[in-house]
Amino acid sequence: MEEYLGYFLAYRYLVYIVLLSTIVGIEIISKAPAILQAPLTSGINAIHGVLILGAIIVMGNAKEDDVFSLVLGFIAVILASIHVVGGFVLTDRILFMFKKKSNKK
Amino acid sequence: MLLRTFTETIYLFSIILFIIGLKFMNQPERARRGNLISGLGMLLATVGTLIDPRIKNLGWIFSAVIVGSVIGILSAKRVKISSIPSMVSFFNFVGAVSVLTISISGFVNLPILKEKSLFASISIFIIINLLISTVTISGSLVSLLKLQGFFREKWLEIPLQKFFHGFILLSFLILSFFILLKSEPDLYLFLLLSLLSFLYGILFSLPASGSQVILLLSFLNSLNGVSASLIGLIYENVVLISIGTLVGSSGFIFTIFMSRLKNISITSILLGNKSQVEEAKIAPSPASQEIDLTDAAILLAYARKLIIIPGFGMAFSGAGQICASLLAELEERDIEVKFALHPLAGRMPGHMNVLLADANISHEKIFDYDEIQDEFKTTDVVLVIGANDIINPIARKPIPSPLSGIQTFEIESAKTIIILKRSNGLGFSGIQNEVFGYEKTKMIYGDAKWSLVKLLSTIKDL
Repeated sequence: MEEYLGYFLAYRYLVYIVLLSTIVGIEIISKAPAILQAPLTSGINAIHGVLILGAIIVMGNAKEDDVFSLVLGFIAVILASIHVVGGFVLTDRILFMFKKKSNKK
Repeated sequence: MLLRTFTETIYLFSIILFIIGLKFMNQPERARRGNLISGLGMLLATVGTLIDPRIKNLGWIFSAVIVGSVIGILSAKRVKISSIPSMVSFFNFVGAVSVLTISISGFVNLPILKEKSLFASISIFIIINLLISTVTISGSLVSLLKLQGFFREKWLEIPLQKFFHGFILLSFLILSFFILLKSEPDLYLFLLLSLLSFLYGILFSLPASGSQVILLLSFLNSLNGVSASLIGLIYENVVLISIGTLVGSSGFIFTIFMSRLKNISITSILLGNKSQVEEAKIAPSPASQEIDLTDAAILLAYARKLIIIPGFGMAFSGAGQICASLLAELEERDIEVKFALHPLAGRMPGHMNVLLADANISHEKIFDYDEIQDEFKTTDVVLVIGANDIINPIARKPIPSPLSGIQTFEIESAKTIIILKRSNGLGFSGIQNEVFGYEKTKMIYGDAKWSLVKLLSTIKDL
């Protein structure tokens, strides 16, 4: 028990970050109007392309001669790039059509 | 040291940009800008990471980013409007494979990571990531195929489904326990774990019916966010931790939001709810009457009030534009035309809004469920274009079905119903719709766009 309490104390900033981020996430989405559901699903999808940072870190930490890690990292970065760039472009496409619609008023 | 501080400062700004961007996406006017702002945040965070002196192999990284970006841009730009949910599913899939690759790399380098990191429990994170990513991989793959119509009307029933679920989960937990006990990474156990969770992903996404697939997608979105956050915890990257959690929580709330809209509980999806489907299939297939185009054209042209209900079939056939032309022609004849948009129409919430917006159909003519429900009884003709489940009265009956508890348009009270449908097949939820057999219902089979083109020209000749 003491051990876990010790963990909490040592990592409390991380706990705060996670807690606050969770609350921010909940707050932001709860105000979403129904029409924006399609772009929001796509938008949230795009944002978790933040994964690309993880991929870059993995690849960046690989030693020069470690071919296995390099290849894995390469694949990870390509995939993450597809995910993030594609996601944002797709969301933009959906939103572009909304823009036209609201201009008609 | 300086560069490191620089990186962390950049991270701070990018997090702010992400939050502002997401906030803006809540308002229709600023939504597009919101997306750009989030994108900017993403760019900034990426630059920040690349500046970090601990990152080597920049050349390789750059080329990988360029290759991926090009593929991403091309695929996002070329996709058809109706395939947007499939695309989202695809990106989910791609992201999950990326997580998997990262996890494998993490696992292989476990001893090194353990030294560097704050946590002793990294292995747990990696294993959780493994579970999440493989489930997401198989889950989004199955969703993708379902949205593309691959599993149409073929109910793949697995007996004792819950038993299998439980068994696989249990084995997974036991194996994870063993892996944690060993100090060195055991590749074979790892692979076995991956296989198990892959199977679980297939099992739990397979029984999902039409609209549940979209719910699944949103849930997987949320899971992906959590894995991003876990990766952040492993590598101590604050952007990953905070934004990953952000995505995880907002994605989760979003899923609940949508599930409340559709009256489907999340647990039933996770465990599969096959029993509901059986009851509804017992009903016999309704005998429907076809109508020829001239008669249909007359019905339309001489109506005083018309409600159009768009559905997936309309999006699939790309009939937005022609529908707008039909609208113009009808309005010229002083017919009151309204569009009834059901929240579940299409393959994704907002799908129909996007379709109609693209065809420049005015916002004022579009009504949502609550606004239009009472008007069906004063309507002469209801024109249903490629929609099925959303007009199925079985949802309002006490019979259990995949549509139970969902509100559907009560078009039975209108004078005449004309339905444009690709074929005599079942709807996305795989059940019969008695509306097709009504006396007042006239069917026009064939591709929506084609039918509308012919209808329009016939009307013009009247």
